[in-house]
Amino acid sequence: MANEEEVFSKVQVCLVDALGVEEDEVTPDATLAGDLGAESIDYLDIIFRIEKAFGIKIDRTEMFPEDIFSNPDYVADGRLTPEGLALLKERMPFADLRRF
Amino acid sequence: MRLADRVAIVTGGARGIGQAIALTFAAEGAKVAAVDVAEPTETVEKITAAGGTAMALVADVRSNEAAHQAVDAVIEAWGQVDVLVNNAGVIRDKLLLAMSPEEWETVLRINLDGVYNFCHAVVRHMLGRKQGSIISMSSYSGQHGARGQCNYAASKGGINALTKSLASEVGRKNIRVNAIAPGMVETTMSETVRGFIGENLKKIIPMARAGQPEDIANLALFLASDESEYITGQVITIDGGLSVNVAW
Repeated sequence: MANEEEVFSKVQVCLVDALGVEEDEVTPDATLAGDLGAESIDYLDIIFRIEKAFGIKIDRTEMFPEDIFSNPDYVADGRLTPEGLALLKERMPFADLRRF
Repeated sequence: MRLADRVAIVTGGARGIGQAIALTFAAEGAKVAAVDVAEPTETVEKITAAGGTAMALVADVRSNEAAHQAVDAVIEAWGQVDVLVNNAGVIRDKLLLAMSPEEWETVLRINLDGVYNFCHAVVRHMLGRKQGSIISMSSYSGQHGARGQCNYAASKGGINALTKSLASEVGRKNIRVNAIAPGMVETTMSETVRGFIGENLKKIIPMARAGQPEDIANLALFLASDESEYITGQVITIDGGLSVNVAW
């Protein structure tokens, strides 16, 4: 089983390849859209590269839960509602959502 | 060799325009997978006899699963896909009022769904390659309409819109998406219509002749090659002037 450093290193290569950014831009705290300029197609590109690099399958909604972000019950005026944020935390327990 | 080291998939590759495209691509160095509902053995035989590399795949473009299986077969054999030509298409000409739901459905499913299915299967591999050219066969009637071809024209108009939309989605990944809109081309599919028009064809087309499959193949080659690397989201008409023929 790979350690965290090995996993990060592989993910870093995937992000560099998918987004055309420099290696030193891909830090553990970097955000895909905000810091690295990712757009919709990039998320799919990243998923495909990570699946190939690790030999796994990733559910598309795990990376980008479109059913939450496109639901007016969970997003209002461009921001997550309390219900939306709660559901997102449940769906993505690994994500740091403190900024939301 | 304008397509050296490239791998191309051509649907509807058994005959007509699809065969001409497959042969032209192979002559320019591409490995070509010809896909059709009837095994495209003649196309593959012609390519290999000329020293090229090709494979024949049987697939119904209406099936998303079959499209993925065909693309997977190409990846397994040759490791990459650089060019996709969505050429598979049929006609079921009738005035709309006489057109059965089945005649409508068949044309839309093969001509338009087929494009979606093969694009869906191929784009992820082009993302990995950071390059790709998708060329779909539209038609004069997709832009202008044609009496007796509501189904065909709708499918080709749909291809035009899909082409522009997909180009917008994948452009930043160096994947280009374009369509070719031929006018009257000398193939078995247009035989009946050309028969009706007869000698009048020379009056309605400024260049006074129907197009040849090779004319279309030459444009497809340009769009597949690096020479067109800044062209995407376009529907390019190739019709001998049919669409601009105004005679007072």
